[in-house]
Amino acid sequence: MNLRRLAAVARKETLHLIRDWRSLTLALAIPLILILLYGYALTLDLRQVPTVVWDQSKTSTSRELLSLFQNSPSFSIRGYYDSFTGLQKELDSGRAMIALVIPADFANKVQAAKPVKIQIIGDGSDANTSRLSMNYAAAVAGLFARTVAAEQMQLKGRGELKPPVEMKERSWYNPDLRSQNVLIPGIIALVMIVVAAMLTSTTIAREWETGTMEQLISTPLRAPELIFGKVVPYFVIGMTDVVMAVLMGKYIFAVPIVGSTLLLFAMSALFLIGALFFGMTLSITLKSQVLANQIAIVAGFLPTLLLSGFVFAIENMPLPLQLITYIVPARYFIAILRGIYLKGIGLEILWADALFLGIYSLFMIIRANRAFKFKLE
Amino acid sequence: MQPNTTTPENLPAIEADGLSKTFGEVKAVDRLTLQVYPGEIFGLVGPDGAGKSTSLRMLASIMDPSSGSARIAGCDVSREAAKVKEHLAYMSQQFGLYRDLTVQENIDFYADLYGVTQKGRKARIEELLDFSHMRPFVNRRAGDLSGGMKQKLQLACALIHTPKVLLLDEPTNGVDPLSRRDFWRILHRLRQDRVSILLTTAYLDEAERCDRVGLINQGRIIAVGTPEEIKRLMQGRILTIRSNEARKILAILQGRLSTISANVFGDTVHLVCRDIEETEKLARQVIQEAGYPVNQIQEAPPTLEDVFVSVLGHDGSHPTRKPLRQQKQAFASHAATASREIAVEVQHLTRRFDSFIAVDDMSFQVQRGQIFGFLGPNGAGKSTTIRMLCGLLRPSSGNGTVAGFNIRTETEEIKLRIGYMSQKFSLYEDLTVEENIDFYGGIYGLSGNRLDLRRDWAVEMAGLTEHRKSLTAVLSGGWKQRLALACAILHEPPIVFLDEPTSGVDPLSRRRFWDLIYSMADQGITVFVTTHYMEEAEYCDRIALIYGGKMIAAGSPLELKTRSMQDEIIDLRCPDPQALAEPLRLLPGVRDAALFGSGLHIVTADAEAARKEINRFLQENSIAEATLATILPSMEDVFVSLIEEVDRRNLSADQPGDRP
Amino acid sequence: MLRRIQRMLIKEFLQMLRDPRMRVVIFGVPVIQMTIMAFALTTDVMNIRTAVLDMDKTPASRELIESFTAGNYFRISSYLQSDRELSGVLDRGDVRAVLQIPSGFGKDIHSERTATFQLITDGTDSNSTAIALGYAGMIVSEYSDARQMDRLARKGITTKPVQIETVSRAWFNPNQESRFYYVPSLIATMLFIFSLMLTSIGIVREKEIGTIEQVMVTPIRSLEFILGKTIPYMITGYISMTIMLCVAFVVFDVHVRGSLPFLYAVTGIYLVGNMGLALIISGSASTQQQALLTSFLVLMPSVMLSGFMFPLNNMPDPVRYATLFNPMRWYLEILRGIVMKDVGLAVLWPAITAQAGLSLTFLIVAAARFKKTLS
Repeated sequence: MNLRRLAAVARKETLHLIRDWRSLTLALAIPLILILLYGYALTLDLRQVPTVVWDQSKTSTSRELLSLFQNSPSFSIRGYYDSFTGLQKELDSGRAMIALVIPADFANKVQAAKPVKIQIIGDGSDANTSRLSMNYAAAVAGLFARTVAAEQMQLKGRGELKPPVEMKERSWYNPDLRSQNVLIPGIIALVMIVVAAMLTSTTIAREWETGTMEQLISTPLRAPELIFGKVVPYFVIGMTDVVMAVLMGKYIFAVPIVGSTLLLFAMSALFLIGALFFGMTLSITLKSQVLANQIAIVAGFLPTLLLSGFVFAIENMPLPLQLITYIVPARYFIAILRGIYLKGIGLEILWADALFLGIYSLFMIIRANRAFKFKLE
Repeated sequence: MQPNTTTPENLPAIEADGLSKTFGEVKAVDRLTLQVYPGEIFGLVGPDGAGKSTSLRMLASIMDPSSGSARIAGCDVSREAAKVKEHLAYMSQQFGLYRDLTVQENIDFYADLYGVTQKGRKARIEELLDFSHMRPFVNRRAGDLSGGMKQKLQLACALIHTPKVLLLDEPTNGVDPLSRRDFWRILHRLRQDRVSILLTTAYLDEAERCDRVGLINQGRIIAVGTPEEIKRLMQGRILTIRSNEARKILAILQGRLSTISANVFGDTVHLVCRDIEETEKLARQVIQEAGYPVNQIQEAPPTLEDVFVSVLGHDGSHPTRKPLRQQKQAFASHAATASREIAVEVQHLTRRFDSFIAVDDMSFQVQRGQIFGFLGPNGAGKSTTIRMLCGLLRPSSGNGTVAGFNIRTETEEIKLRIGYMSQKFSLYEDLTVEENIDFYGGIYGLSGNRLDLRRDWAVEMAGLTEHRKSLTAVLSGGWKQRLALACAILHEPPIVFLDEPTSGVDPLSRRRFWDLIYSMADQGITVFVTTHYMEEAEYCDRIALIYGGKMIAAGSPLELKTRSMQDEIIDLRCPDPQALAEPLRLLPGVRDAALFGSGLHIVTADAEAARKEINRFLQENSIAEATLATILPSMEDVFVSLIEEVDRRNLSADQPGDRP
Repeated sequence: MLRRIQRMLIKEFLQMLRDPRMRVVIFGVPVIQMTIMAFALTTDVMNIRTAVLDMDKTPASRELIESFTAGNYFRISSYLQSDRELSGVLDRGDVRAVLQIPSGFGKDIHSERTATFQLITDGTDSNSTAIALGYAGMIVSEYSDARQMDRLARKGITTKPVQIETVSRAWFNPNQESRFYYVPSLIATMLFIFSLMLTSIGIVREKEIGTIEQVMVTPIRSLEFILGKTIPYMITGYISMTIMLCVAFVVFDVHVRGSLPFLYAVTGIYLVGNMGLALIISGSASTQQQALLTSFLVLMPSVMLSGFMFPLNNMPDPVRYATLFNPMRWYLEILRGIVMKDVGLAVLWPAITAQAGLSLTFLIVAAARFKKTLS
């Protein structure tokens, strides 16, 4: 491989990028928006679940229960209705997610310490959210029951009861369970697959489509020089995006890096190379910008978003899918990112993930070079 | 670059041995065998789709041959591709440079690819910029250059490493005569430096300048030799009749004379016949009866184009002239008596792009049924004007009508009445030939029986009967061009705009294009055409010459040749004319000397004085076999001299005279 | 006019479907995507790998451990012997939680003191952790209540605890299976991706190759051209949706509860809006790459802020207001309404109005801009 020719290709590709300021801006704006979206707007935590109530009891006891709901950050009572149809309308229209039905004999039964049933109706059309909020609601009801029991005990003159068991919760690595601490590191992977695979997936195809490839083939340029040269500027953009993500994470969203920043960048570079050559391979084999790009989205972006553990924990997936995630490189990269960011661990633990990333990148480099026939058909 | 490994002079630098290429069932190139020696220019000519580009690509080692072998500078193209590429420069037919990079950046990029050292590079780039006259444009983006400049830039990029072998695929396609002259000047310099040049071309006057020519048809070389040798293939002798009514003369002569063939070349009718005296007598008689003016009747040596037409014209592979009759019927729906109605009229038409004035205060009229030629160098504003007339572009100021409709306000009406063929090939490459025709037919509102008829007509007219179901992408450049024309006139519009319809099309198809254009004009269809083939300009009823966005001359070809041209032209036939051009230009009284076909045209204000000087010069250099004649200028002479006159005026008015 | 449009359609279909790889992308990919996603996307947490560090080793501590493993929530995967092993198992990610019971736990329970233990969780997946902690809380309070009962019983007090039972019912999706939820979401997403990207690229490509110039000198009106360019993608969108609905029915047993014609009609509004957006994008882009990146820039926030994966309620107010201008948000609401809730115009009219308003706006902007692009 001749480094000078490689550098020439890299320089040319950089000029294309600079000339096409719009693509360049987009390459930097997309990560920015992703980071802001995940940093500010997107969270899976339940907050302010819109709740409607049919309080058939209308007693101070039932109001006490409802005030527990009202005070919980998870729920927000949006309205009271006196009929089933009222609740139904709210759930149908999606204005409410949860409906509580408190029976008429609620207060009496509670006073008499008889079992009583309250009904929680969730909007199952959003299964995840409804299940979570129904669990939360049950927990709130349980809390109410215990409070009442303790009060009753006290009333019976037994004095204050100490709870026999108390659980202390400690969450390591992320004591406040901030979702930003978890999402921001994951975004680095997402940003890189988007920028790297999307940008490179069009680059070789474009040379074929505009007819410049024919001229290139006639020069002493070798295929690997072209491939590696083309990757260089995109690598720079990708790393710029990483730096941007890290800085924004640190200064805007206050996500600290516990581990080694150097290792973080090194691992990002490794993953980036894999992603770049993945895009290259698509561009080389498909020779069409549209097709290469669609595949880059379907085979690159979506798995990184969904099957990497970024948003949805891998352990919660059914087994066949868990097996599929082993071939999603972002899975390893996200493990590494969270390891460095939150746990502060290094290669002594992450070596296996790093090794896989290395193999993946190498495989993609070889794949791209193998696939490239530097000839006209 | 590697001076130590020069090939011996007597060995061919390009050597093909039984080179073949098959695409599916089609044999694109069939056992091609040829040699090109150092310092030789070899021209490969043949009809569209004959396998010219494929041959070049295999020689450039960018496409693997199906069988056979080839050597470039002694290295095998398949096994030693890397070495081959070091010695080779290749210019693809398609513009292969990056439009978003500047001239300088493109050159630098190629210099790096070829590993030109920093030390030698600067001098080499300077040299290339000088000799391609590109220096004023180094910071311009390649995409903004005119067609001629683009080709020169591509050549400059290919030459950056002083190659031993140069392969050029239709390098002058779509390039105006001025730039073409520049281009050939460069090629001759390279030839003197012992570079082997193999080129393909659709301009047969260029082929005449080659040292040797190979005639290729259906993938097979059918003749190789010097232009003189090739011309000997010609059966019969040639009688030329020069007249301003050449086309009409041809029409009346056809069928009345027992000639082998009769064709029009510019303003001249060529009759190929066995008995020259008999034919001349008969011809004179017929023309006199008809009362057409004749400038000159004489026997002439055959040109390559004569050979091309006579050797390949009777070949079954090529569309014959028969369909002409059908066309007459096809256009009959629009047939009308030729009237003096105005079809196109513009007043003070101007179009600005930011600060750049592409079209500057242009006014003209085109009458119905006229063939109106629009000539001018690349970037003069021809295409911009046509786009405005077609309603694609709004004029910045000025006004105009097409078919009686305003080009500002009634573009939809105009579009119903025009056919337009753009310069850039613009059919869908991922559709087949028939699908393209169906698509355009459909959006022009054809359907059912009529669409069937027109489809058959178009396929036949484009000579693509065997390729109806082929994807357009696999057709050769000339074929695509024919298909584009067919699609543009499917709906038989009363006004047709053709932007360089014949660029890159072989001479035979070009003739058919023009036959078609004539038959359209005969039926009252107005044809608005741009071209870089100056002999085609002769076919037009009226010509407007535009330059720098302005119309600098207008009139019939005869008017232009006699009135607008102040200088006189001396035609010089001699061996190795290119070598003489430089010294002749320096003679007193000689304004310019340039290659013209296989000879030289010398421009002078005073022919008598100049002839004396030239004769003296020829004697001093003991060049005996030269003939001199003062002639009526050709269209190309007019074109070049008018433009140079404008340049001179601009220069004296202290304005930079660079042609954009 | 109809004939010209018809020709455009034929041409577009030929171009779109000539490449077999493209056919796979258009019709095959949505099916695969749906299959994977419907299984993958669940925030439910089960079988949390848990290590136990039991320094007490009494029947009480074992009972606690048992109560943790009784449900399906926690799964004990290892027993630790000392504190020192703790950081190792968490760092390596071997377990997500460690149940640490100090010595003296059993003694504290039997005396009147409060016995404490620790649940250490791995916060690197904050969402799963929060849910796990919720489960743990319930388990512990149950366990604690039982111990309280024991204590009181020892003192001779028998009391019934207050029992508030919650009866949870999920409407529209009684088993709360995610697949019911993801089928409509994925249809909306896939339609958005394909209609936006393919349409905008289709137009930009004609600009790039120069064919648009040839077409624009024909009598074709810009409206016809636009229709010809967009209708094929709308039809493809419909076909794609139909395929996805079929797969949903056959593979996942998810069927449309509401009216199918209504669903297809409302989808039309959505697709038309997407076409408008695609036209706006293609009007401003000059290369395919630009069109792709711009589409992606529009697409990503639209998907993320549609309520697909992230509940709209959780978003900060400004962002929530911004989602009002997100066509996919409305479509998703409509789609879920029709597919799962069987509601009609009476309930969905606000969303449909919003959707139609957005689509119309996009079209008007597109028409204004497209005229300009051509000249």
